[in-house]
This record gives sequence, structure tokens and C-alpha cells, in this order.
Amino acid sequence: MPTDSEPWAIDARGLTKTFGTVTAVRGLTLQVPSGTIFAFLGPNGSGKSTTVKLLTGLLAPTAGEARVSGRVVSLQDLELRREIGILPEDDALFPDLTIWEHLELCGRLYGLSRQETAARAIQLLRHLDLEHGRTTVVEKASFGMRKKCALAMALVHNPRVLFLDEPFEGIDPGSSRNIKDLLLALAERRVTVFLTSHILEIVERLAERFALIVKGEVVCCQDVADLEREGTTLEELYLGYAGKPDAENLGWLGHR
Amino acid sequence: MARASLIFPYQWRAFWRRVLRTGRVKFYLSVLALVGSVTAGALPERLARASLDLAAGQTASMDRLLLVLCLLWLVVLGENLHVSLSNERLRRFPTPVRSLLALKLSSLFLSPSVWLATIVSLLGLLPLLSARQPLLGILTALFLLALTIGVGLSVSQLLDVARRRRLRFAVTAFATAVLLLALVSQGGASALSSSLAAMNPATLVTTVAVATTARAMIVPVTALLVSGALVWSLLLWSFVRSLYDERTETTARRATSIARLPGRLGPLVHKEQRSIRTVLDLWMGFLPVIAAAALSLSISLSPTIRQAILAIVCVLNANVILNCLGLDRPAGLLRYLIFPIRGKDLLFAKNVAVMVVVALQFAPLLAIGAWQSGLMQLAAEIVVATVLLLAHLAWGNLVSVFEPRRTEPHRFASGGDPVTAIVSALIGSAPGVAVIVLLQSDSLATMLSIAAIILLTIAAYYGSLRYAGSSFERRIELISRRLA
Repeated sequence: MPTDSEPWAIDARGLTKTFGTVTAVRGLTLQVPSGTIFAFLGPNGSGKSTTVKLLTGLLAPTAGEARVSGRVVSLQDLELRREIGILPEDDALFPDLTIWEHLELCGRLYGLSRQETAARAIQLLRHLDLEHGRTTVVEKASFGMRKKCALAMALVHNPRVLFLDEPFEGIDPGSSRNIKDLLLALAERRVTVFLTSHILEIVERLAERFALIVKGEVVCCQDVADLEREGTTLEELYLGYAGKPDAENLGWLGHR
Repeated sequence: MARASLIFPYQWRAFWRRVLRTGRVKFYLSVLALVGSVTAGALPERLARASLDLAAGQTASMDRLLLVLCLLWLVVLGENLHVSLSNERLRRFPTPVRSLLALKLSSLFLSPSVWLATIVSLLGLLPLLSARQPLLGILTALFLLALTIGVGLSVSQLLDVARRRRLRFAVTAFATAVLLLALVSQGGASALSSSLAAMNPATLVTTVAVATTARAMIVPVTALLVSGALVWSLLLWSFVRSLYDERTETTARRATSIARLPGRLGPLVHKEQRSIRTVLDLWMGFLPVIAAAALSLSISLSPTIRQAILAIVCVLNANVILNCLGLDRPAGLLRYLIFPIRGKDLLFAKNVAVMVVVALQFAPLLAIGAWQSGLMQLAAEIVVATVLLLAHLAWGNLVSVFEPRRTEPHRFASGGDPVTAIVSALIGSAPGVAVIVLLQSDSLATMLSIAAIILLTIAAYYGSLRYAGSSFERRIELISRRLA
């Protein structure tokens, strides 16, 4: 729960985003306490990534307001950018820089000294098993390497709130385990993690609380621990809200 | 600004890696060769004349020179640098907007074309040394060039913003037409020439340069300073608009098509049509047709002039035809390979998409031809149009596969190196021009020659489609790297 000295890490009220006639996010209200791993789930195109962009000031809301670390989120708030780390949906890397150059540039932009950036970058690359690829130009890097690079960039400046859009997508099991351990350790140190993922098993083991968004509206927000008490699983709950596609009409598949 | 200087070295490194990776060095070398030789051949004489004129207090030649320099900068700014560290991606970092703008401005100078334009511009200002006010003349001229860069960048940024893009493009096209008209009408004696000449901002510079009293400088200097303030505001405003544009999120876009074609490749043609309509060249191709249509309401255009306009439209479309893979990205190219279609089918679909748009460009001229000169003349013009288009496509397919260059939507298609562009325009136009010339006579031998040209052009197109198609399949890795 928030206190005067430590407000909600993320506090969104009535957040709405429309693009032309399409409403991507409708009246989203949610609060995330500090030091929580919060999972934001939903089917493809339900508004997860748009929500991440709204909460990180990469997109302006049509209505409503969001606060992160007590600061009102706005497009040009540089202080907010220093407080948060973002792993965007599309990695947003620079194709002609090496992985090492990405971290070097990123650390310097967040105001770290060259030495400190280098020291942190080495540790992060080691932890993410990316040391061997440090001189690889991103354009030639594999999908997993790019994802790890983007994750390291989100972490290098030691943010208080982390927004991770699909952090486990395309990551090998060893690195995936390392990332999970790292996120748990961060939560213990009061860093807030807001992540989206489609891998419900990981979410169930990692997150303390989750919200489910369907067609731009949050339909469920609760603690993961409550699932056990309710005698259900995250997958059952998810499919209950998001619906299960009917495969009956695909009877023609396999018959040639 | 410290942030910009921090990022710039990375931008520099990434830019040159990209240039080497995509083989763009060849482009810069041919620009250097072409602009260098044109400059060496034409500039000294013009500089000498402008110097003499300015010393005598005459400004017309310097006005024209300055306008050419402004146009040179606008052309140079049209080069899409594809900078690796784009502002769109940098904006998630704690970097102020002004730093991002400073980075954008400094990144312009990554391009060797800009170095060349800078050298030519500095040489072009030398005649001002002969004017009565050399220092002030040079300072105001530099200010004018900075204003031109500001206007060029602002226009490009405004074209980046999705909302009302077509309206902005129409305004830009109109302004460009006025600027070009001002350039060609310099020195003319008509009322239109003199009113256009009065709009030439270069006259502000030369007025200052030849001013005999401080009082004579007040109006032009004030006008330049006010323009400077306006352009700076426009630059900053358009930069912020383009930086926070929500174009990537517009899922509610209308999926319209100018024609839905039947057959297996129909959907692919439909997709290609939607892509190529975002390239500005094809829209510019409508301008001469509209101008000719408007002119023909008052005077009767001769068939040869109409046919020449068809040839000009094809040359205006050349960059799209010579770079038909430019809008594709590696993932899209891979998708083409996954489809059960051959490379020639893909190129044919792309060609048909271009043909549909070009047919629309030609339609008003052909209709005018039928109205003013009869159906026989319409048939002749259809023959000219077909030969021109097929010849351009035949050559264009080869260049597209062997020299692919990345093109961005809502921009002009990436031009190849100038030598290739000139050679391509000649090769693409040659059969059509031959037909236009042969149509002047109506002997049997002429008809047979025209028939032979048509057959040869069709054969060349078919051959190029097959060869370029199979080469596309073999070279897909290389093409992907070039377009990444």
C-alpha cells in the first residue's frame, strides 16, 4: 500500500486512448504498489502495448491520467524517463550499432560515467549470457540477442520502475531463468516491475498481482495468490475472459 | 545540446556502417563525379559574370545563382539518410527535444552530398566579394541558405505527420511549382516574370549586397530576420509534431484500392498498389498531365507534344520503376519467398500495380488526344504509352533486383546514383521516343518499324521479367541486407 513517502509506483485513472474511431484502451484504472511484479495480460491487440506506451509517456492519452513514481506521466518529462526503464514491444534498437555500443550510449544518455556504464554493461551482459555477442551489430543479431540487449538497456541506469513488454519472448531457457531471478531480486529491492507476457506459467510463478485486459478494458485485476484459494488457474481464468477460439470449423485441416 | 554531441559519434559510426553495408559508396562517388564535373564546367563562368554584374550594381545573375543554390539544398535534403539512431527510437531516453533537433540538424552533415552542397554553396557566394557590401552580403546569403534548410526540413517533417498529409503535399507541390517557375522566369520581361521575380528571396540578399546606404538595407534585413524567426518556429513546431506523431498506431486507416484485379496475383497487385501510392514521385507525375490538360482547354496541343509529355511522365516515375523492391523490408521479402510464387510473378504484380497508376496518369492526356485529334491519334498515343512504359519496366526490373535501395513511404523514391538514373532514363525512353519520331511519317516502312519496336519491347520486357525474377530468388539475401 502506498504511503506519503512512497506513493503508488503506478497509478492510472480513467486512462483512455483512441486512434480515429478505434478505442485501444478504455477507462483503464489500476494501481501498482512499489516493489511489486505486476503482470498485464491480454490477447493480441487487446491494448497491452498501448497501455505500456501510455504509462511510459511514449503516447499521450486521449483522456485520464497516469502517475508513475508520483510523477504525472507526460510526453516530454525527462525526469520520469530517468526513473523508469522500458523494454518496448519492438526492441527499438539501432540497427547499425553493436550491442556494446547500445549499452555504452544508453548509460551515457542516462548520465552515467563512461567507467560506470562499462562496469554495469559487463555485468549485465554476463548475467544475460550475451558477453560473446557484444561486438555483434544489432542488424545481424538474433531475435533473442536483440531482446536481451534491449532488456540490458532498460536496466543499465538502475530504474525504480521497469516496464517490460514481452520480456521472455524468444529467450532461451537459461537466460529466461536468469531474467526471472533478476526480476525477483529487483522486486525485493523495491523496484516495481510491470510486465506483459503471453507465457502464463512464468507469470503465475513470478508475478504477485495481475490484470487482464480484453478489447481495451480491464476485466479482472487480482493477486496471483487468490487463484489458488479460488481453485482455479491463471490459464482457466484467462480463457474464461478472453474466450477460446472454436477449432471445429478447421476440420478441413489435415484432409487433402 | 550536450546530449546531441554525446549521440553524434554513434550516429556517425552507424551511418558509415550502413553506407558500406548497403553499397551506397557508389552512389556518393557518382554524385561527386557528376556534380563535380557540372560545377567545374559551368560554375566559373557564372561566378565571373555574377561578380562583374554585382560590381556594376546589377543583381539578376546573382539572384539566379542564389536561387539555384537554394534548390540544390532542397534537392540534397531530399536524400533519405536512413539514420540508424532515429529520433523516434531516441525519444524513450531522457533527451530534451532541442537536443534531438540538434542531433537531426547535425546528422544532415553525415552525407557526402551535403559536404558537396556546402562546398558548391561557398564557391557560389564568392561573387558577393565584388559587391559593395561583401561581408553583409555573404552573411545574409548564408542566412538565406540556412532558411532554405529550415524550410526543407520543416516540409519533410510535416510530410511525416499522418494527419492531413495529402493537403500538405498538395501545398508543397504547388510551392515547388512556383519556385521552379520563378527560376525559369528570371530575367523575363512579362508581368508574371516580374511578380515571380519579386517573390524570389534571393533578391533580399542581393539588395543588401549592393546597398549604398544603411537605409536601403533595413527592409531586406528585417524581412530576412522575420522569415528566420518564422522558419525557426515552423521547424521546431513541425519537429515536435513529427516526433510525437501517432502514425504507427493508426489501425483505423481506410483500406482503399484504385483497382481490384482478378486472378491469383490480384491480391498481391492490390497490396503493391497500396504501397506505391505512398511514394510521392507518382503524385508528381500527375502535375505535367494536369498542366497539359489545363493548357489544352485554351489551345490545341499537337500530338507530338502530348506524346512528349507521356515520355516526361515516365521519366518522373522512373525512380519508382527502377526501385520496385524499395518499399519492402526483409520480413516482407521472406514472405514473398514463402508464397508459392516465382520471382517473375512477384515482379509482374509490382509492375501491374505501377501500370494501373501510370494508366491513371496518362488517362487525361489520352482522352484529350481522342477529343482533339480523333481515335486514330488515340491509338497512336496508346502505342507510345505502352512502349514507353514497357521499356521503363523492362530496364527497371533489372535495376530493382541488382541495385535495390530502401525507400520510405510518404517520401520520394530513393534515386540510384546519377549515372544509373541518366542511363536508365535514356534506355527507358529510347524505344518510345523512336516511336514518336516514326509516327511523324505514315509510310508502310514506318509502320513496320513501329511494329518491330513494339515486338522488341515486349520481348525485352518478357526477358527482363524472367531474368530479374530468377535473379531475385538467388539474390534475396543480398537484397534483404540492402533494404534492412
